[in-house]
Amino acid sequence: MEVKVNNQFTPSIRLQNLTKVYGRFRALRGVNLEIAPGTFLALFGPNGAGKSTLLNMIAGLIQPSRGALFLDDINVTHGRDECLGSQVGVLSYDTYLYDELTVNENLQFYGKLYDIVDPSKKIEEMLVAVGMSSRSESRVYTLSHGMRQRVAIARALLHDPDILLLDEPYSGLDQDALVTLKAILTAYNKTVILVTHDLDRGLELADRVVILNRGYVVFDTPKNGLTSDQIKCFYKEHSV
Amino acid sequence: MRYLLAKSWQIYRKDMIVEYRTRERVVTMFVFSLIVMVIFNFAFNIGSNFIERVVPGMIWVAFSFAGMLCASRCFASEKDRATFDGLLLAPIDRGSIFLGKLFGNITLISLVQLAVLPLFIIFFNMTIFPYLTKLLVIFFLGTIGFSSIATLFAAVAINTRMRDVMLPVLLLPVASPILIALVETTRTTFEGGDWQDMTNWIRLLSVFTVVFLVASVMLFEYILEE
Amino acid sequence: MAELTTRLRITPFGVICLVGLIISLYLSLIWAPRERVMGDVQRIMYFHVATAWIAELAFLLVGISSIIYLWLRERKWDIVAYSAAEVGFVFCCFVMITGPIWGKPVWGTWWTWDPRLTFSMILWLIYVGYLMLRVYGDDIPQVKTFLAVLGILGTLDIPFIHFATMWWRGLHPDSLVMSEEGLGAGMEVDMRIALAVSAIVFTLFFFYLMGRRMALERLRDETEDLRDRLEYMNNDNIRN
Repeated sequence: MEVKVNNQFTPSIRLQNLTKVYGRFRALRGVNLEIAPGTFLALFGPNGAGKSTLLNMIAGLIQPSRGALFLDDINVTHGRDECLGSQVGVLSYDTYLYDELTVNENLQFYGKLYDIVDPSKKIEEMLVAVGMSSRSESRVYTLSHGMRQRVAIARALLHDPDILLLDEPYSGLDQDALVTLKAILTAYNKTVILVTHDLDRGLELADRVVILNRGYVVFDTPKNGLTSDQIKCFYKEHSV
Repeated sequence: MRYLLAKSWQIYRKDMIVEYRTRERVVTMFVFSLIVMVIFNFAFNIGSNFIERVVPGMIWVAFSFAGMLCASRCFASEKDRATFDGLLLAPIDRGSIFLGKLFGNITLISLVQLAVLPLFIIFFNMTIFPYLTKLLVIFFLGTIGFSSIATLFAAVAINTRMRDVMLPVLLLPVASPILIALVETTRTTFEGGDWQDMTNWIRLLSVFTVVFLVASVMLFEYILEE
Repeated sequence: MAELTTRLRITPFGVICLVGLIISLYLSLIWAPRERVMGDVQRIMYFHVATAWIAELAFLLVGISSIIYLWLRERKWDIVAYSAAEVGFVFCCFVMITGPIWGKPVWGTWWTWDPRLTFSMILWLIYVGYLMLRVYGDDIPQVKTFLAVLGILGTLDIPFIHFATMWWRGLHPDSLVMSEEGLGAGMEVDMRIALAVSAIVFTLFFFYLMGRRMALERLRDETEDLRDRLEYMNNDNIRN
């Protein structure tokens, strides 16, 4: 069921009874979700709820213990073709940047891994978009955390992913970076799944809100004027 | 296949640039080898008549420990800095990661071997120039074979609680045939032996290298799943 | 009779093994002729050789079931591999103990680095590595895969270890030990019979022990499963 959004393809995501067990610990318990293409989904929940596990599963880093995952009706539960890796872009608190390489070298490296045609041009575009083009020849270890996160944003979007997965992207960002990230996310019109503890920011751009608790989906609704206070109430009520 | 190698090359290149700028692995490996040399000297109280007997073993103890250090660090640094997921997310065959890391390990271990060997010659007053080609061939073959399983087991070990400590326990017993072969061929070479004096060992060395290189490439895929 | 069997937890196969062991003990310790040179201490050979061959067989089993496990991903093959490893390890320890016991009176020394013993030593170390990985890796989800990889590589290694240890000590060492084990030449007919019986009986005993170990592991799995379901039910109650 592909939906062409602005001439760009973005797949639907379907989670079917997704379960992940680590020994005795149940990270995810029978999660069912259907995410239409182009949805901006905000994923909330307390620590240990399984949010990161869910993201990692969609990204393909973890395999479910039970259940199935479909990207555009293709079953990717037990591994996917390498080329599907380019569908996903991940922004996490880990920047995936190599300290001893320069910003440009890092991006060139990932550019080559993702088979980007003419990476230099694309890299320049992205660095301008995140406001880091002046530091492209700096070694990453010289950059502040906020700057690294900005480069990480560039890295995540370098290959024009069809799905953007964001795991606590706002933590540690300075004001400038926050503005930049919001601008980028607003302009990005493909599927986004955003995990954050920052309820206000999460709600700003979301179309749909899902709350996870202890591996279950406990709340799933379109945003429709939902406020962060309402969500906080919900948290308290259900001792989430 | 070319595609696989192209991606491996990218990873290899990246690792070598990082290593060039930090020199963390080669320096540690080099120093470690020197320390082994000194300690063995005291441990065995070497008089000049026993040199040929002990030095080959000493060399390969030094190189195998340096090799383990190298393999261990190549994954440890990725895991510590959480960049490993970056590689896993990329649309590349997992085998490329293995090959890239393997070539990196082989390169660095060979560099250290080339640096350490002259020192062994100096400190133990050995003559090896007539045997240089033989030694280099043996070293090269051995390094490939040893590094294959070292890289594979390092990927396993780094995921366990005990991390680096697990590597020798897993690797050394499995690597013992190739280590025995390497010591014997090195010894024969130092004693002036020719290729036909060590055909069995060379055969073992070659077959071991091929078999375990192929096995490692095939099995690496499974190690990365979670 | 059936009730007796269940209460005492002995299977018919177990009874056969027990009877076989008694027969073998009799044959080895009493019936077989006294060896001219070494005397009665030589009788250890009947157990030493049998268990040595089983230790190797066991690891071969580990390797084969590891391959099947990686291919089919069914828990039962992991159980086979692990049980073979544990029981095989016990047999290997037995080899390492009987070797020196036999050796001291015969060679005047507890240990020699002859090919047979060196091979057993290395095999023993591989067993140790395997078991350590299980013990120190039990908190990681991929441990079964790691064990399978180790099992396969270890099994592949066995011929190499065999040749390396043999050539290391000269091609065909001609100790009494080697010639007896190798071809059975140099042994009287009666001794060969006792040895053959011993080998067969101990192999049966190995499979019996392995069966019990596998049953134990399956029981463990069942208990875990029940515990899971109990927790699931509890949690469902909490949720609702």
